[in-house]
Amino acid sequence: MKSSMSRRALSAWVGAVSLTALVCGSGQSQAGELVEGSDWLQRWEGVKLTLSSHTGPTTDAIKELSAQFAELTGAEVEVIDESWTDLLSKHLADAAAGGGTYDILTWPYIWTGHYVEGGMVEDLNDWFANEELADPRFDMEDIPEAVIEVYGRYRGGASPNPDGLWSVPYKFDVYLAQYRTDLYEEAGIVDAEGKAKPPETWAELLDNAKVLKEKFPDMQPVVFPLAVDDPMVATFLPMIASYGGTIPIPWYDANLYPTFQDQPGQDAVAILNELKEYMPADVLDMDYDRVNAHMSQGLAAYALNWNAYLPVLLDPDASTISDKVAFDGTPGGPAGRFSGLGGWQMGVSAQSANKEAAFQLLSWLGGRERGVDFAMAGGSAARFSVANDPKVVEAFPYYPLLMDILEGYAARGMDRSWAELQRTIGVGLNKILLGQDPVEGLNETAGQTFDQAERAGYGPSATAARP
Amino acid sequence: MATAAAEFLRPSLGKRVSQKRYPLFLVAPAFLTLFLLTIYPFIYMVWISFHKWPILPTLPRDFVGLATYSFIFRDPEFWNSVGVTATYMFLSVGLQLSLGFFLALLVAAPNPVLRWFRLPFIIPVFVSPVVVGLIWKFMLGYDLGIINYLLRSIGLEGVNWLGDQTNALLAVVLVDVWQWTPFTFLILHAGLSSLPSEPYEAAALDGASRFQMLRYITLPMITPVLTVALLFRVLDAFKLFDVIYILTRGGPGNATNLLAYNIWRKGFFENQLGYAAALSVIMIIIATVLALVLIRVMARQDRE
Repeated sequence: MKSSMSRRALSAWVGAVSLTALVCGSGQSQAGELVEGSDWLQRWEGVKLTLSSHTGPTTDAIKELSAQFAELTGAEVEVIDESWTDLLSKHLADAAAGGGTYDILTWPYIWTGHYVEGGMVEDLNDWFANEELADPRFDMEDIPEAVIEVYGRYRGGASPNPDGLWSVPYKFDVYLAQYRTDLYEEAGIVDAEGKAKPPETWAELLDNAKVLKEKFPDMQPVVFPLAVDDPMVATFLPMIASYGGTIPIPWYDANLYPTFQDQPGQDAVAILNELKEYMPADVLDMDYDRVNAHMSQGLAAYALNWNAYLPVLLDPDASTISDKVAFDGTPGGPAGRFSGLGGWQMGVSAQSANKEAAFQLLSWLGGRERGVDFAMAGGSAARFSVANDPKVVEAFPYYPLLMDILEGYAARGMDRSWAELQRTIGVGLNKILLGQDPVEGLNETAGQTFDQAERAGYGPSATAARP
Repeated sequence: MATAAAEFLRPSLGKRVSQKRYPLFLVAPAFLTLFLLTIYPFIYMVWISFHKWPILPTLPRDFVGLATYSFIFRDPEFWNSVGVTATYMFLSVGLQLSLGFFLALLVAAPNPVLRWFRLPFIIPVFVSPVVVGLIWKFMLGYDLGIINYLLRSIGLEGVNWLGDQTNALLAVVLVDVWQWTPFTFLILHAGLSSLPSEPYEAAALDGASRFQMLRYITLPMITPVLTVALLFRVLDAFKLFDVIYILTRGGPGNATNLLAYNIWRKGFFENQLGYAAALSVIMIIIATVLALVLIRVMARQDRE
């Protein structure tokens, strides 16, 4: 009798626990119930969300905002940050295994082809149209259209929907110039008011470099990230654009037929070759970190880098030039002045078990109302409201320059073969800087990228024969 | 009686069968392990190499036969990679064996002070290659590296270690030699310690010089051990990845784009598993041929 009772009690207990687990585990127990004081944020108790990203100040800022989301909604949010070089293979492997480990994926736009063509992320158009879930004050208009185009759309390759919105900005990266006001002023490179005058063109930068070299023989007048692969191509991007390369992607046309070997590419290589003479001897080994270290240690007068690296230069604990560094857009050429666009975006994983909650987290992290907090915490926000905020501009004086992209920007590729093409272009440009004939080197590299694009399933021969 | 005894001792049919199978049962675990961990993955890799194979199954995995191999053999980057790997291997392994042998001879000398160096000599082997790469990256820096600082402090020009094509490859060789010479030293030291003393005593009685003893006694006797060390280091050199990843990323240009690094990039950074698999098959074939040649040399030495 006693045994039968305990068995019955045990069954009831197991049943109750299972039911609770089922209800909570589904993540739907509280769906629809709004957070107190909010007109869009719902309660997500029992739901665990995982955001996958790379290490750095932007992800640190995202962690802070995620913690606020968790506190408000009751969801558990884990932000996994790791080396960016391993991220693509991890995301692909997880998607291939059907793991659904991640609810929000972040990636640099140069990998977008994998995520969209591979069906790894949701089209956010429908999600933003859902009034029950979307943040009514997300304010897409506050994000520059160019940024939406590069960080959100995927019109090339085998896009399932060219008008789809696959992601929103995660980290806004624009290539900017940093220069030493004290050295420029001492060398007499000044404007009418006697203030340091940064170069407006690459040719002017070259002239400045000559003056600086003579005035400060122990100082490097210029330093660019020119290490093979990503840094080499990112540095060449605003150069080729300013000499007349096709905009916004100067590397190839819609069929992935190479265009960088044409006259604009040759002119840009010629000026880069001349500028290299005023850079450190080992500049071809210099990536973004090393250039930033070089600049922060006071070893160079002028540098190019992504804005995400710049807070270090302003930090007196980490930089010897915090009080004598100023910022500017990258120089221009005969075709104008263009900003090189980099950066990361975030999307909702197609394999997420909690897409509704994931979408609300994404809206929370990218929404207008959190923009200033995000920037002040070290994140890089692509919003007009942030770039114009006095508090942000005071802390990070280069912020208004980020909006120069409105005047013209250039981007890298987004198709699935871009990683391979970028490597080939980077190696080709490196070889030219090491002494190969520029025209021969560019044509040889163009031929290689043609073959690679064709092998990847794109159709460069639809434009013309192999260069 | 004898027949009855034989009949009694004769195993039953079942026992006879199980006796026949007995060796198979003994070999089975090893075979199964080998099959699951080596043979099956290798066959699968060869199969993948005949395809255009993105990691994601939602993207098309097309059978392309030998097209990838054909592309690879026409690709100048592949031949550059093979050339760089061969140059690196020749220089690095050659230096490791020479230095390792020299150090082993030095320590083998009856000098109690030198014997204390045995442990410090082998410390680099214990350090993780990633840490080795990072340490050397700092030390080889053009402006702030300690090596150039030392060179400049004695009035020499700083060397552009990582920004020049030739120097970058030499820098990789230098790092590899620093880390793995102790390994060859250890093997050759063990080999030298096991050599019999009689031939040396006889040679000394005949008035042979130290050099003659080295040339006509030590070297012929140590050659099998040298070949083993060579085999280990050649196969290891083929796999060098971590130091390249940290130190040069294959640059400048493609001066240090070794085969193993190239395979990693194609497979895991460019999402081209078919291409990476084909490169791996080619690399395994080259390594196997080299290993077979060295094993044959060893077998011949054994016979002699």
